[in-house]
Amino acid sequence: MPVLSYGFLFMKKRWLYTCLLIVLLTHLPAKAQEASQYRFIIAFHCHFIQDTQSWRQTLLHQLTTTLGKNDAIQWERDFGQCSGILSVHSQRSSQQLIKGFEQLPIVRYAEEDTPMHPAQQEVNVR
Amino acid sequence: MAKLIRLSSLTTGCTLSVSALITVPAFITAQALIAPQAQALQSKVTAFESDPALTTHKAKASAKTDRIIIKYKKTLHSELAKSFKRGQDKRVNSDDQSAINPNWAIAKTVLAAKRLSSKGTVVLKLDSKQSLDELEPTLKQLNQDPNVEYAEPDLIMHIQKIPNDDRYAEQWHFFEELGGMNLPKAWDITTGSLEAVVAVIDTGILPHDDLTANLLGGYDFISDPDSARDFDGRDADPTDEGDWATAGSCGGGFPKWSTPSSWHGTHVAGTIAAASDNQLGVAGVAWHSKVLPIRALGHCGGYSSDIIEGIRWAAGYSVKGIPDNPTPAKVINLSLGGYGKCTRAYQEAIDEARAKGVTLVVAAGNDNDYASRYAPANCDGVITVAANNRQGGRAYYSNYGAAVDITAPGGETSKEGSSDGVLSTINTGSRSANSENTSYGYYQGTSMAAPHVAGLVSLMYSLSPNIEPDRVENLLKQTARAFPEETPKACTLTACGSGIVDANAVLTKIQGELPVPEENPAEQNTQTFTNNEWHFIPDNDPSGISSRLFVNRKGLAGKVKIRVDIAHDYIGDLKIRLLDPTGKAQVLRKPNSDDGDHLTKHWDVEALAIPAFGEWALEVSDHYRQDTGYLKSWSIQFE
Repeated sequence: MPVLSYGFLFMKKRWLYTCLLIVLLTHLPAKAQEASQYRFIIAFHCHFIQDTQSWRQTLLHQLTTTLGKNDAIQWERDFGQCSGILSVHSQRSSQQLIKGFEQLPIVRYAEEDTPMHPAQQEVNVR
Repeated sequence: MAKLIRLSSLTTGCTLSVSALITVPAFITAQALIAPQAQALQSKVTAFESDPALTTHKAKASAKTDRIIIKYKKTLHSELAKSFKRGQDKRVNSDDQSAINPNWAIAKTVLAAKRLSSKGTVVLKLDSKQSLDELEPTLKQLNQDPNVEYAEPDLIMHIQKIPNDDRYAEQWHFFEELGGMNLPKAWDITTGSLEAVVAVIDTGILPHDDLTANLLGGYDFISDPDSARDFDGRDADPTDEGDWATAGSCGGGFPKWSTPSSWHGTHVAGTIAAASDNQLGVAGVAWHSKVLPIRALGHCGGYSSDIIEGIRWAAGYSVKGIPDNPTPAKVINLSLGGYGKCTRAYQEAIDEARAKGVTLVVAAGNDNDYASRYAPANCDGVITVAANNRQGGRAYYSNYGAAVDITAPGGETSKEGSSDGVLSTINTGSRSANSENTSYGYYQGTSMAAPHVAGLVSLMYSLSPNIEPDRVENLLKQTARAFPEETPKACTLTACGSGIVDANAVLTKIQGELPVPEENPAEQNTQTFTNNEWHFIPDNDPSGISSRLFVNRKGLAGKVKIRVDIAHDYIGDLKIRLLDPTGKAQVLRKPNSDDGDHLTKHWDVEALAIPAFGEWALEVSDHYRQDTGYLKSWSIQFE
């Protein structure tokens, strides 16, 4: 009986590995889909402001159509004459979001509002 | 009389190369004056300090002299000695003049033969100052005398302006031959002007006894209250609240270890325009220019959007929710950066600033990598600055490559010693600033190199207020000093741009290009200068167009009449500004509801204290959609 049991387990080992692989594969995408906070500069065509009542809300609505169902977008502030700073909470990558935004005809371009740092070098520790 | 005859009889014709005629006497050497020990020779040329604009003419005037140095050959020295009593001049009366040597054209104008040195040198004094061109035939004749070893103009020299700041000798980056930027001679040309404002977009600013006098109000552009550390978002107070950070507090494992506040903006601002020649601390590059502090970097850096709006505001554009900048900058210093391409938002802001005639100076970055991989160093239209060390080689950290335009001192510090870094104003508080407003520190980085160039660009604008950004960049490159070849980590043109920035060379070039005012008595009469070039006025574009007019007239402008001829549908769209040669703007007309289609009008403008000489500009911009037109001509009439 023990011999049979061991034999059965040996035979099933491949199945064990397969199950483990399936668990990993299903788990990894879930990790990648964790939501992140982004900040974008979105420039749009200036005629949009002049031609549209409540243009911020209209723009937000249009941008929302490019997002996933659990994503959130918020208008932070106006930026220059025809652009705005928007924060986005999304499971997508920034590149995916930018690609979606830039498909809208009213959007000139969308860029992540990247952080900059002072260009002072720390003391040489060579 | 007899002695004078003896003197003249010793002199008759010899040859010497013409080049020797303009040789500066060997006893005046630049090296001696720029060495740190030369502080004992500190000198003030008060005319230069009170009015930097006078410097140009002062420097040119010094090329005249009323004295000639003649050195006689050795065999005649003892004979000459007999004709002089030690320490006395030989006066020459009218009878004696031709006796010096009847063949010398100069004999008619010699008033005295002054001093005989131990080496057989005589100084002849003439009856009036003459230019080098005027003296040339005389000197040629003297040098043909076989008894004369050489004759040359006794040029009037000015001691280079060395500031008396007590730690100036440690600022190798300003004066050393290998790694310095050759400032002392440049300061004889100009030390800056109030109008040549430099915006420093950085961590903000702190009060400092050696800096505050040269600071303008500025603004805090940090929109994130957490990063700003001042409990609010944007406000009118650009005070640096400290950028200290604990390990990993900025996310992504950054920073690797806890770091104290850098007071980076205060260090950068001090390099540009520390209060100078005030017997305190350090000097700045531009003693009389002003720094406009714009705070955009806080805890963990700063958003590009805040930096970009800082650029626009610095250049004079309106930013929503913020009062307009009352003192727009001519130069913007960006000692900051991040990995990535130049974004469109950056490029648009840079283009807009340049359209206003603003020059942007950017640090190349400290990653020992291609500068083209870092923004905004890789944007078009900026001057990207790499860092050199004290030996003139590329600093070990400095970015390099085709994106670099020029190199400037950024220094190299180490645990063993920091005096090879760049010395400037700081605070010693490790988190919050302390009340000691007299601290100085050595930093290294392309952050430190960029303000050397920004300060110099401010000096360039002081000399030539309407100089264009492209011209600024070209001149800096053309006049850059070659990299030292025998230095470890020697730079090359492909790695570090055109060379090490040379302040004296670039200012001398600009000075040489400035037209000299005509000395015509009729100049005080009514004169009109006209520009008939047509300019299309772009629709609904606040940056508009700028039409320039060069005025060659001495004296102050006084009351001037500005006439414009503009063909434009709905002229109410237009705003018109006049820029005088000092760069100061006056609004002649604001947009209004006038629906006419032709604007022919004149304005009487009081420019009482403004020099007439220089470049004037008329800026015309359209502020509403649809209607367009042309500026056909404009003129300035001086009474």
